[in-house]
Amino acid sequence: MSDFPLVIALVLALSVPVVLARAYAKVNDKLLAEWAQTHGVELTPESRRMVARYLRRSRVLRTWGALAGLFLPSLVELALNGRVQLLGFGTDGSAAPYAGPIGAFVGYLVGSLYAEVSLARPVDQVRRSASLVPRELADYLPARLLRAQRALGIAAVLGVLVLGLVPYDAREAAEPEWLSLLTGAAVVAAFAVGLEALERWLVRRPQPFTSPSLVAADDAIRAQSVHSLAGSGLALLLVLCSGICVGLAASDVDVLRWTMWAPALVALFLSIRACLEIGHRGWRVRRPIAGAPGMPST
Amino acid sequence: MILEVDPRSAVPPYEQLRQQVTALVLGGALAPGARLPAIRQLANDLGLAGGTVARSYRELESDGVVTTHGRHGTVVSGPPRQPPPSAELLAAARHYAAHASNTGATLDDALTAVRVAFATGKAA
Repeated sequence: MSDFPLVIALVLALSVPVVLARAYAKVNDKLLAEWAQTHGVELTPESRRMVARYLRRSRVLRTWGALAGLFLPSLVELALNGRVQLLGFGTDGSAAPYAGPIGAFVGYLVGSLYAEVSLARPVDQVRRSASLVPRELADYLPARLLRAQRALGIAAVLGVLVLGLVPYDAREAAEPEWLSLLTGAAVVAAFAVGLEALERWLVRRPQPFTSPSLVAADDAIRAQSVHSLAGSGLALLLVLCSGICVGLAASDVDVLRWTMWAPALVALFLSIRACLEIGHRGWRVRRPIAGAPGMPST
Repeated sequence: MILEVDPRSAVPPYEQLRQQVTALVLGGALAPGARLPAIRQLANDLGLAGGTVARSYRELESDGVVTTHGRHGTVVSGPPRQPPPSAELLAAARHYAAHASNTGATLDDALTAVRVAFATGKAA
Protein backbone atom coordinates (compact mmCIF):
# COMPACT_ATOMS: atom_id res chain seq x y z
CA MET A 1 0.00 0.00 0.00
CA SER A 2 1.33 3.42 -0.99
CA ASP A 3 1.45 6.30 1.50
CA PHE A 4 1.79 8.92 -1.23
CA PRO A 5 -1.98 9.73 -1.35
CA LEU A 6 -1.80 10.39 2.40
CA VAL A 7 1.04 12.90 1.86
CA ILE A 8 -1.03 14.59 -0.87
CA ALA A 9 -4.05 14.68 1.46
CA LEU A 10 -1.99 16.39 4.16
CA VAL A 11 -0.64 18.99 1.74
CA LEU A 12 -4.15 19.65 0.42
CA ALA A 13 -5.61 19.88 3.92
CA LEU A 14 -3.15 22.68 4.66
CA SER A 15 -3.34 24.50 1.34
CA VAL A 16 -7.06 24.33 0.42
CA PRO A 17 -8.25 26.55 3.33
CA VAL A 18 -5.60 29.14 2.38
CA VAL A 19 -6.68 29.07 -1.28
CA LEU A 20 -10.35 29.41 -0.29
CA ALA A 21 -9.61 32.26 2.12
CA ARG A 22 -7.81 34.10 -0.69
CA ALA A 23 -10.72 33.49 -3.06
CA TYR A 24 -13.26 34.91 -0.61
CA ALA A 25 -11.10 37.92 0.35
CA LYS A 26 -12.78 41.30 -0.08
CA VAL A 27 -12.14 43.18 -3.31
CA ASN A 28 -10.64 46.39 -1.98
CA ASP A 29 -10.26 49.78 -3.62
CA LYS A 30 -6.58 49.22 -4.40
CA LEU A 31 -7.31 46.02 -6.35
CA LEU A 32 -10.15 47.74 -8.20
CA ALA A 33 -7.94 50.70 -9.10
CA GLU A 34 -5.16 48.41 -10.37
CA TRP A 35 -7.63 46.35 -12.39
CA ALA A 36 -9.16 49.48 -13.92
CA GLN A 37 -5.74 50.82 -14.82
CA THR A 38 -4.48 47.62 -16.45
CA HIS A 39 -7.73 47.30 -18.41
CA GLY A 40 -7.83 50.97 -19.37
CA VAL A 41 -11.24 51.76 -17.92
CA GLU A 42 -12.38 54.62 -15.74
CA LEU A 43 -14.66 53.36 -13.00
CA THR A 44 -17.83 55.19 -12.07
CA PRO A 45 -19.96 54.33 -9.01
CA GLU A 46 -22.25 52.07 -11.10
CA SER A 47 -19.49 50.31 -13.05
CA ARG A 48 -17.39 49.96 -9.87
CA ARG A 49 -20.14 47.85 -8.27
CA MET A 50 -20.36 45.58 -11.33
CA VAL A 51 -16.60 45.13 -11.59
CA ALA A 52 -16.18 44.43 -7.86
CA ARG A 53 -18.95 41.82 -8.04
CA TYR A 54 -17.34 40.20 -11.09
CA LEU A 55 -13.83 40.12 -9.63
CA ARG A 56 -14.95 38.42 -6.43
CA ARG A 57 -17.42 36.01 -8.06
CA SER A 58 -14.99 34.98 -10.79
CA ARG A 59 -12.23 34.36 -8.24
CA VAL A 60 -14.55 32.27 -6.05
CA LEU A 61 -16.04 30.30 -8.96
CA ARG A 62 -12.66 29.63 -10.58
CA THR A 63 -11.30 28.39 -7.24
CA TRP A 64 -14.27 26.13 -6.58
CA GLY A 65 -14.12 24.91 -10.19
CA ALA A 66 -10.46 23.97 -9.87
CA LEU A 67 -11.04 22.26 -6.49
CA ALA A 68 -14.02 20.34 -7.88
CA GLY A 69 -11.85 19.27 -10.81
CA LEU A 70 -9.24 18.02 -8.36
CA PHE A 71 -11.52 16.13 -6.00
CA LEU A 72 -14.58 14.99 -8.01
CA PRO A 73 -12.71 12.23 -9.94
CA SER A 74 -11.46 10.83 -6.62
CA LEU A 75 -14.98 10.82 -5.16
CA VAL A 76 -16.40 9.18 -8.30
CA GLU A 77 -13.66 6.53 -8.22
CA LEU A 78 -14.36 5.85 -4.55
CA ALA A 79 -18.13 5.64 -5.09
CA LEU A 80 -18.00 3.47 -8.22
CA ASN A 81 -14.99 1.23 -7.63
CA GLY A 82 -14.28 1.64 -3.92
CA ARG A 83 -10.71 2.64 -4.84
CA VAL A 84 -8.95 5.33 -2.81
CA GLN A 85 -6.95 7.71 -4.99
CA LEU A 86 -6.08 11.38 -4.81
CA LEU A 87 -5.01 13.53 -7.78
CA GLY A 88 -4.46 10.34 -9.76
CA PHE A 89 -2.32 8.58 -7.14
CA GLY A 90 -3.95 5.53 -5.58
CA THR A 91 -3.27 3.74 -2.31
CA ASP A 92 -2.68 0.61 -4.44
CA GLY A 93 0.42 2.28 -5.89
CA SER A 94 -1.21 3.22 -9.21
CA ALA A 95 -0.21 6.62 -10.60
CA ALA A 96 -1.85 8.89 -13.17
CA PRO A 97 0.10 12.12 -12.55
CA TYR A 98 -1.74 14.11 -15.23
CA ALA A 99 -5.18 13.49 -13.71
CA GLY A 100 -4.73 16.27 -11.12
CA PRO A 101 -3.68 19.09 -13.48
CA ILE A 102 -6.25 18.11 -16.14
CA GLY A 103 -9.06 18.05 -13.57
CA ALA A 104 -7.98 21.40 -12.09
CA PHE A 105 -7.70 23.10 -15.51
CA VAL A 106 -11.09 21.77 -16.67
CA GLY A 107 -12.67 22.98 -13.42
CA TYR A 108 -10.97 26.37 -13.71
CA LEU A 109 -12.26 26.71 -17.28
CA VAL A 110 -15.83 25.83 -16.26
CA GLY A 111 -15.64 28.24 -13.30
CA SER A 112 -14.42 31.07 -15.55
CA LEU A 113 -17.20 30.42 -18.03
CA TYR A 114 -19.90 30.32 -15.37
CA ALA A 115 -18.59 33.53 -13.76
CA GLU A 116 -18.99 35.39 -17.05
CA VAL A 117 -22.33 33.90 -18.06
CA SER A 118 -23.96 34.35 -14.66
CA LEU A 119 -22.90 37.98 -14.11
CA ALA A 120 -26.00 40.18 -14.17
CA ARG A 121 -25.50 43.35 -16.20
CA PRO A 122 -27.70 46.41 -15.70
CA VAL A 123 -30.34 46.62 -18.44
CA ASP A 124 -32.37 49.67 -19.44
CA GLN A 125 -35.96 48.43 -19.39
CA VAL A 126 -37.41 51.39 -21.28
CA ARG A 127 -35.18 51.95 -24.30
CA ARG A 128 -33.34 49.42 -26.38
CA SER A 129 -29.97 50.73 -27.40
CA ALA A 130 -26.90 49.19 -28.96
CA SER A 131 -23.50 50.30 -30.09
CA LEU A 132 -22.90 50.30 -33.84
CA VAL A 133 -19.29 49.17 -33.36
CA PRO A 134 -18.65 45.51 -34.23
CA ARG A 135 -17.24 43.21 -31.54
CA GLU A 136 -14.51 40.85 -32.73
CA LEU A 137 -12.52 38.29 -30.76
CA ALA A 138 -9.27 39.95 -31.89
CA ASP A 139 -10.32 43.08 -29.92
CA TYR A 140 -10.50 41.06 -26.70
CA LEU A 141 -7.63 38.58 -27.05
CA PRO A 142 -4.11 39.08 -28.45
CA ALA A 143 -3.60 37.49 -31.87
CA ARG A 144 -0.55 35.57 -30.61
CA LEU A 145 -2.66 33.79 -27.96
CA LEU A 146 -5.18 32.83 -30.62
CA ARG A 147 -2.36 31.54 -32.83
CA ALA A 148 -0.87 29.63 -29.87
CA GLN A 149 -4.25 27.99 -29.19
CA ARG A 150 -4.55 26.85 -32.81
CA ALA A 151 -0.93 25.69 -33.06
CA LEU A 152 -1.14 23.71 -29.81
CA GLY A 153 -4.45 22.15 -30.89
CA ILE A 154 -2.86 20.96 -34.15
CA ALA A 155 0.29 19.80 -32.33
CA ALA A 156 -1.76 17.84 -29.77
CA VAL A 157 -3.86 16.13 -32.47
CA LEU A 158 -0.76 15.20 -34.49
CA GLY A 159 1.04 14.12 -31.32
CA VAL A 160 -1.77 11.72 -30.38
CA LEU A 161 -1.58 10.16 -33.85
CA VAL A 162 2.24 9.91 -33.72
CA LEU A 163 1.87 7.84 -30.51
CA GLY A 164 0.42 5.10 -32.71
CA LEU A 165 3.27 5.21 -35.22
CA VAL A 166 6.26 4.71 -32.91
CA PRO A 167 7.31 1.20 -31.78
CA TYR A 168 7.12 0.19 -28.11
CA ASP A 169 8.98 -2.46 -26.16
CA ALA A 170 6.20 -4.83 -25.05
CA ARG A 171 8.05 -5.53 -21.77
CA GLU A 172 7.93 -1.84 -20.76
CA ALA A 173 4.83 -0.27 -22.28
CA ALA A 174 1.61 -1.51 -23.86
CA GLU A 175 1.11 -0.66 -27.54
CA PRO A 176 -1.71 1.95 -27.77
CA GLU A 177 -4.80 0.89 -29.73
CA TRP A 178 -5.58 2.86 -32.89
CA LEU A 179 -9.26 3.17 -32.05
CA SER A 180 -8.43 4.85 -28.72
CA LEU A 181 -5.87 7.10 -30.41
CA LEU A 182 -8.30 8.17 -33.15
CA THR A 183 -11.00 8.83 -30.55
CA GLY A 184 -8.49 10.81 -28.48
CA ALA A 185 -7.39 12.85 -31.50
CA ALA A 186 -11.03 13.61 -32.34
CA VAL A 187 -11.73 14.73 -28.77
CA VAL A 188 -8.62 16.98 -28.72
CA ALA A 189 -9.58 18.50 -32.11
CA ALA A 190 -13.15 19.10 -30.89
CA PHE A 191 -11.81 20.74 -27.73
CA ALA A 192 -9.46 23.07 -29.65
CA VAL A 193 -12.20 24.10 -32.09
CA GLY A 194 -14.78 24.37 -29.29
CA LEU A 195 -12.50 26.58 -27.19
CA GLU A 196 -12.25 29.23 -29.89
CA ALA A 197 -15.97 28.95 -30.64
CA LEU A 198 -16.70 29.50 -26.94
CA GLU A 199 -14.49 32.59 -26.86
CA ARG A 200 -16.25 34.02 -29.91
CA TRP A 201 -19.62 33.27 -28.31
CA LEU A 202 -18.62 35.14 -25.14
CA VAL A 203 -17.65 38.19 -27.17
CA ARG A 204 -20.94 38.12 -29.13
CA ARG A 205 -23.22 37.71 -26.12
CA PRO A 206 -25.80 40.53 -25.86
CA GLN A 207 -24.41 43.89 -24.78
CA PRO A 208 -27.28 46.39 -24.63
CA PHE A 209 -26.00 49.95 -24.44
CA THR A 210 -26.69 51.48 -21.04
CA SER A 211 -23.94 54.06 -20.51
CA PRO A 212 -20.42 54.49 -21.88
CA SER A 213 -18.85 53.65 -18.49
CA LEU A 214 -20.87 50.45 -18.08
CA VAL A 215 -20.13 49.32 -21.63
CA ALA A 216 -16.41 50.02 -21.12
CA ALA A 217 -16.46 48.00 -17.87
CA ASP A 218 -18.44 45.24 -19.57
CA ASP A 219 -15.89 45.10 -22.40
CA ALA A 220 -13.03 44.84 -19.88
CA ILE A 221 -14.88 42.07 -17.97
CA ARG A 222 -15.46 40.17 -21.22
CA ALA A 223 -11.79 40.53 -22.08
CA GLN A 224 -10.78 39.08 -18.71
CA SER A 225 -13.26 36.19 -19.07
CA VAL A 226 -11.96 35.43 -22.57
CA HIS A 227 -8.39 35.56 -21.24
CA SER A 228 -9.31 33.16 -18.40
CA LEU A 229 -10.83 30.75 -20.88
CA ALA A 230 -7.82 31.03 -23.17
CA GLY A 231 -5.44 30.55 -20.23
CA SER A 232 -7.10 27.39 -18.94
CA GLY A 233 -7.66 26.11 -22.50
CA LEU A 234 -3.99 26.62 -23.35
CA ALA A 235 -3.03 24.96 -20.07
CA LEU A 236 -5.10 21.89 -20.99
CA LEU A 237 -3.56 21.69 -24.46
CA LEU A 238 -0.06 22.08 -22.97
CA VAL A 239 -0.66 19.37 -20.40
CA LEU A 240 -1.90 17.09 -23.19
CA CYS A 241 1.27 17.85 -25.18
CA SER A 242 3.30 17.09 -22.05
CA GLY A 243 1.50 13.74 -21.70
CA ILE A 244 2.17 12.96 -25.37
CA CYS A 245 5.88 13.70 -24.85
CA VAL A 246 5.90 11.30 -21.88
CA GLY A 247 4.19 8.71 -24.12
CA LEU A 248 6.86 9.18 -26.79
CA ALA A 249 9.59 8.92 -24.13
CA ALA A 250 8.18 5.47 -23.26
CA SER A 251 8.65 4.29 -26.86
CA ASP A 252 11.37 2.01 -28.14
CA VAL A 253 13.08 4.80 -30.12
CA ASP A 254 16.29 5.84 -28.37
CA VAL A 255 16.24 9.46 -29.56
CA LEU A 256 12.71 9.92 -28.21
CA ARG A 257 13.52 8.12 -24.97
CA TRP A 258 16.32 10.57 -24.24
CA THR A 259 14.90 13.82 -25.59
CA MET A 260 11.16 13.83 -24.81
CA TRP A 261 11.41 14.31 -21.05
CA ALA A 262 12.63 17.89 -21.38
CA PRO A 263 9.70 19.15 -23.54
CA ALA A 264 7.31 17.18 -21.29
CA LEU A 265 8.55 19.07 -18.23
CA VAL A 266 8.64 22.42 -20.03
CA ALA A 267 5.06 21.95 -21.31
CA LEU A 268 3.86 20.99 -17.83
CA PHE A 269 5.53 24.05 -16.30
CA LEU A 270 4.11 26.31 -19.03
CA SER A 271 0.61 24.87 -18.53
CA ILE A 272 0.61 25.96 -14.88
CA ARG A 273 1.91 29.39 -15.83
CA ALA A 274 -0.68 29.75 -18.61
CA CYS A 275 -3.56 28.93 -16.27
CA LEU A 276 -2.38 31.19 -13.46
CA GLU A 277 -1.12 34.17 -15.48
CA ILE A 278 -3.04 34.61 -18.73
CA GLY A 279 -6.40 34.93 -17.00
CA HIS A 280 -5.11 37.79 -14.85
CA ARG A 281 -3.27 39.68 -17.55
CA GLY A 282 -4.42 43.25 -18.12
CA TRP A 283 -5.79 43.88 -21.59
CA ARG A 284 -7.18 47.07 -23.12
CA VAL A 285 -10.05 46.23 -25.45
CA ARG A 286 -9.28 47.74 -28.86
CA ARG A 287 -12.90 48.46 -29.65
CA PRO A 288 -13.89 52.15 -29.30
CA ILE A 289 -16.68 52.72 -26.81
CA ALA A 290 -19.77 54.29 -28.33
CA GLY A 291 -20.91 57.44 -26.61
CA ALA A 292 -17.59 57.95 -24.85
CA PRO A 293 -16.06 61.43 -25.08
CA GLY A 294 -14.93 62.05 -28.63
CA MET A 295 -17.23 59.41 -30.08
CA PRO A 296 -20.31 60.59 -31.97
CA SER A 297 -23.70 59.34 -30.90
CA THR A 298 -27.19 59.76 -32.27
CA MET B 1 -22.45 55.56 -32.40
CA ILE B 2 -25.56 54.30 -30.67
CA LEU B 3 -28.75 52.98 -32.20
CA GLU B 4 -32.00 53.14 -30.31
CA VAL B 5 -35.20 51.25 -30.97
CA ASP B 6 -38.50 52.24 -29.44
CA PRO B 7 -40.72 49.14 -29.31
CA ARG B 8 -43.83 51.30 -28.66
CA SER B 9 -43.35 53.38 -31.78
CA ALA B 10 -45.70 53.05 -34.72
CA VAL B 11 -42.63 52.97 -36.96
CA PRO B 12 -41.48 49.34 -37.35
CA PRO B 13 -38.10 48.54 -35.74
CA TYR B 14 -36.40 47.71 -39.07
CA GLU B 15 -37.42 51.15 -40.37
CA GLN B 16 -36.16 52.85 -37.20
CA LEU B 17 -32.78 51.19 -37.73
CA ARG B 18 -32.72 52.11 -41.42
CA GLN B 19 -33.49 55.76 -40.67
CA GLN B 20 -30.83 56.03 -37.95
CA VAL B 21 -28.07 54.41 -39.98
CA THR B 22 -28.95 56.61 -42.96
CA ALA B 23 -28.87 59.69 -40.72
CA LEU B 24 -25.44 58.68 -39.37
CA VAL B 25 -24.10 58.25 -42.90
CA LEU B 26 -25.58 61.56 -44.06
CA GLY B 27 -24.20 63.32 -40.98
CA GLY B 28 -20.72 61.93 -41.63
CA ALA B 29 -20.54 59.95 -38.37
CA LEU B 30 -20.37 56.75 -40.41
CA ALA B 31 -17.81 57.13 -43.17
CA PRO B 32 -17.69 54.96 -46.30
CA GLY B 33 -15.76 51.78 -45.50
CA ALA B 34 -16.91 51.68 -41.86
CA ARG B 35 -17.99 48.19 -40.80
CA LEU B 36 -21.39 47.59 -39.24
CA PRO B 37 -21.93 44.90 -36.60
CA ALA B 38 -22.98 41.42 -37.65
CA ILE B 39 -26.74 40.92 -37.86
CA ARG B 40 -26.69 38.52 -34.91
CA GLN B 41 -24.70 40.92 -32.71
CA LEU B 42 -27.00 43.87 -33.35
CA ALA B 43 -30.13 41.73 -32.97
CA ASN B 44 -28.85 40.31 -29.65
CA ASP B 45 -27.89 43.73 -28.31
CA LEU B 46 -31.20 45.32 -29.24
CA GLY B 47 -33.31 42.32 -28.24
CA LEU B 48 -34.72 42.04 -31.76
CA ALA B 49 -35.18 39.05 -34.06
CA GLY B 50 -32.33 38.48 -36.49
CA GLY B 51 -34.79 38.82 -39.38
CA THR B 52 -35.64 42.38 -38.31
CA VAL B 53 -32.02 43.54 -38.47
CA ALA B 54 -31.46 41.54 -41.67
CA ARG B 55 -34.41 43.33 -43.29
CA SER B 56 -33.06 46.69 -42.22
CA TYR B 57 -29.64 45.84 -43.72
CA ARG B 58 -31.35 44.69 -46.94
CA GLU B 59 -33.24 47.99 -47.18
CA LEU B 60 -30.03 49.91 -46.57
CA GLU B 61 -28.33 47.86 -49.27
CA SER B 62 -31.10 48.59 -51.76
CA ASP B 63 -30.79 52.31 -50.84
CA GLY B 64 -27.07 52.08 -51.69
CA VAL B 65 -26.04 52.99 -48.13
CA VAL B 66 -24.28 49.69 -47.33
CA THR B 67 -22.85 46.73 -49.17
CA THR B 68 -22.61 43.19 -47.83
CA HIS B 69 -19.39 41.29 -48.42
CA GLY B 70 -20.39 37.81 -47.28
CA ARG B 71 -18.30 36.72 -44.30
CA HIS B 72 -16.45 40.05 -44.26
CA GLY B 73 -19.62 41.71 -43.01
CA THR B 74 -21.61 44.78 -43.93
CA VAL B 75 -19.74 47.93 -44.87
CA VAL B 76 -20.94 51.51 -45.37
CA SER B 77 -20.70 52.43 -49.04
CA GLY B 78 -21.98 56.00 -49.01
CA PRO B 79 -25.02 58.25 -48.74
CA PRO B 80 -28.35 57.03 -50.15
CA ARG B 81 -28.76 57.15 -53.92
CA GLN B 82 -31.78 59.49 -53.75
CA PRO B 83 -30.78 63.15 -54.15
CA PRO B 84 -30.39 65.13 -50.91
CA PRO B 85 -33.18 67.56 -50.00
CA SER B 86 -32.90 71.08 -51.36
CA ALA B 87 -31.47 73.82 -49.13
CA GLU B 88 -34.88 75.49 -48.95
CA LEU B 89 -36.62 72.26 -47.87
CA LEU B 90 -33.87 71.48 -45.36
CA ALA B 91 -34.19 74.98 -43.83
CA ALA B 92 -37.96 74.55 -43.52
CA ALA B 93 -37.47 71.09 -41.95
CA ARG B 94 -34.96 72.48 -39.45
CA HIS B 95 -37.38 75.25 -38.50
CA TYR B 96 -40.18 72.71 -38.04
CA ALA B 97 -37.92 70.28 -36.09
CA ALA B 98 -36.88 73.06 -33.71
CA HIS B 99 -40.51 74.11 -33.20
CA ALA B 100 -41.65 70.49 -32.65
CA SER B 101 -38.80 69.91 -30.21
CA ASN B 102 -39.79 73.02 -28.23
CA THR B 103 -43.33 71.68 -27.83
CA GLY B 104 -41.91 68.46 -26.38
CA ALA B 105 -42.80 66.32 -29.40
CA THR B 106 -40.70 63.24 -30.20
CA LEU B 107 -39.30 62.47 -33.66
CA ASP B 108 -42.12 60.00 -34.21
CA ASP B 109 -44.76 62.58 -33.23
CA ALA B 110 -43.22 65.13 -35.59
CA LEU B 111 -43.04 62.64 -38.49
CA THR B 112 -46.64 61.58 -37.90
CA ALA B 113 -47.70 65.24 -37.97
CA VAL B 114 -45.88 65.71 -41.30
CA ARG B 115 -47.58 62.63 -42.74
CA VAL B 116 -51.00 63.86 -41.57
CA ALA B 117 -50.29 67.31 -42.99
CA PHE B 118 -49.30 65.81 -46.33
CA ALA B 119 -52.31 63.52 -46.44
CA THR B 120 -54.77 66.27 -45.54
CA GLY B 121 -53.02 68.70 -47.89
CA LYS B 122 -53.45 66.27 -50.81
CA ALA B 123 -57.08 65.60 -49.84
CA ALA B 124 -57.77 69.32 -49.77
